[in-house]
Amino acid sequence: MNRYFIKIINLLLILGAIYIYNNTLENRVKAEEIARLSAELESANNQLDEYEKFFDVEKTDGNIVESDYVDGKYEGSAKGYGGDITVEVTIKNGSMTDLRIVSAPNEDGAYLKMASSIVKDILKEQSSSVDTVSGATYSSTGIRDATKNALENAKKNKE
Amino acid sequence: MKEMTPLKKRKIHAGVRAGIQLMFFILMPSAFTTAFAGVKYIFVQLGNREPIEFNAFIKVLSVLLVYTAVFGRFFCGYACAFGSLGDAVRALYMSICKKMKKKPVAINETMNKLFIYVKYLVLLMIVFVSYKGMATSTKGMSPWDVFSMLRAGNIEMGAYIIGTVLLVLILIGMAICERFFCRFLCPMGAVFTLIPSIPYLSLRRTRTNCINGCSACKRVCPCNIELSDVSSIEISGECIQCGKCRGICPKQNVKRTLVPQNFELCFTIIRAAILVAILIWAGL
Ligand code: SF4
Ligand code: SF4
Ligand code: SF4
Repeated sequence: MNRYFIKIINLLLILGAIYIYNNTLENRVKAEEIARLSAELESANNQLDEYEKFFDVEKTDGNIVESDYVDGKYEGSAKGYGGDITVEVTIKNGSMTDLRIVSAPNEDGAYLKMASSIVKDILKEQSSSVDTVSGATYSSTGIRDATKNALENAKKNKE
Repeated sequence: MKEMTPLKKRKIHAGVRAGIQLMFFILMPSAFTTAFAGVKYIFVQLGNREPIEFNAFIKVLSVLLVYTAVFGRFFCGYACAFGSLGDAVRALYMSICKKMKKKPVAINETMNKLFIYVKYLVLLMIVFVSYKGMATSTKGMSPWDVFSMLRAGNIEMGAYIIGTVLLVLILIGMAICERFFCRFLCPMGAVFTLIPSIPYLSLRRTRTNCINGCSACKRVCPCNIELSDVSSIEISGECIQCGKCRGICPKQNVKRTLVPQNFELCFTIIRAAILVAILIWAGL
């Protein structure tokens, strides 16, 4: 058979395989999500029952941890792939609520976009010690280190 | 308009090509690494049993592959920063040889035929490393990283020894043998080679029209390709669309079926413009 057609068939097979792979995983993730949500619903219902029993129990505000940081906006920078990356961290009620990349003049577009996914990890963990983004190691390391630098600036007892 | 001599035409084409290469080198020097990062990403995700998202890397990769399926490896011939770098080193070497009146070194045919498969090994190796999640431990070993960093002006990070040594070796190879890296080693080139491209937009020859015993097109080809006959829709995946074979043929026998002969220059510029547009769209 002609090599041209063989190549086309191969390509279609690969695309098909990726599609099936993604679908399978998506279904698995969905199933897990459903299981998790129903478990949560269950425990929330239980809690609600408890609350109803002790109607006059005062609501507490969850776990208030003494924070190391002073509220405000802080900048920090560190070396990325092609130069300095500067970020701005917003601290509100002692925790990081926002992380913005202020400038990254020498990073490449697609890499920076990939690396930016580290931002939500940092916000979720409330810490700059998270894993870097594979494939965009240098840029994401830059964002992480810049955040660390900014958090240093936000520390309460910096002299 | 007066008919130009073939030599003059060739010079114009070479000039246009160098200009386009320079433009891409300045504007989009990271296209090839980004696309390859897409390939690696796919295997990292497979290794982690995680879904393959349509992210920035995959977008650039798909755009380039679709483009290659239409126009052939025009990206390699005109837009890849690494290929252009190789061409520059090669041009330098040739001019030095000329000045010193030395014959440039030529490499042997049978080696050529075997070595073009090495790039698949390179591809398999990198894909395996990504799949196993060992990519971070190979940090600093990629000559591409070193090249990109030097280009981005990050000299400090150019201190990766293995990557730097490999880069220097590759550049020496590129000087001695045109497109050495592209033909034998480039993993992205291996991916491109596997993409089917529309034969009617690529160069083929009418074999029956050829001068007996002539092999000018093959000798001038940086990839040493035997052009296909117009009766065959199978064109070589190694062809980087440089157009040198077309310029050299004494009988104007190398043509694109869908593009008129005197439209070639326009076609080149159109292809380059489309490539710029889709790469910008893909976020580069
Ligand atoms: S083969 Fe690889 S290095 Fe050569 S031009 Fe193509 S992508 Fe660039
Ligand atoms: S010389 Fe012709 S066949 Fe060879 S790479 Fe260039 S365009 Fe392709
Ligand atoms: S240069 Fe022209 S005539 Fe010679 S082999 Fe190639 S296509 Fe045929």
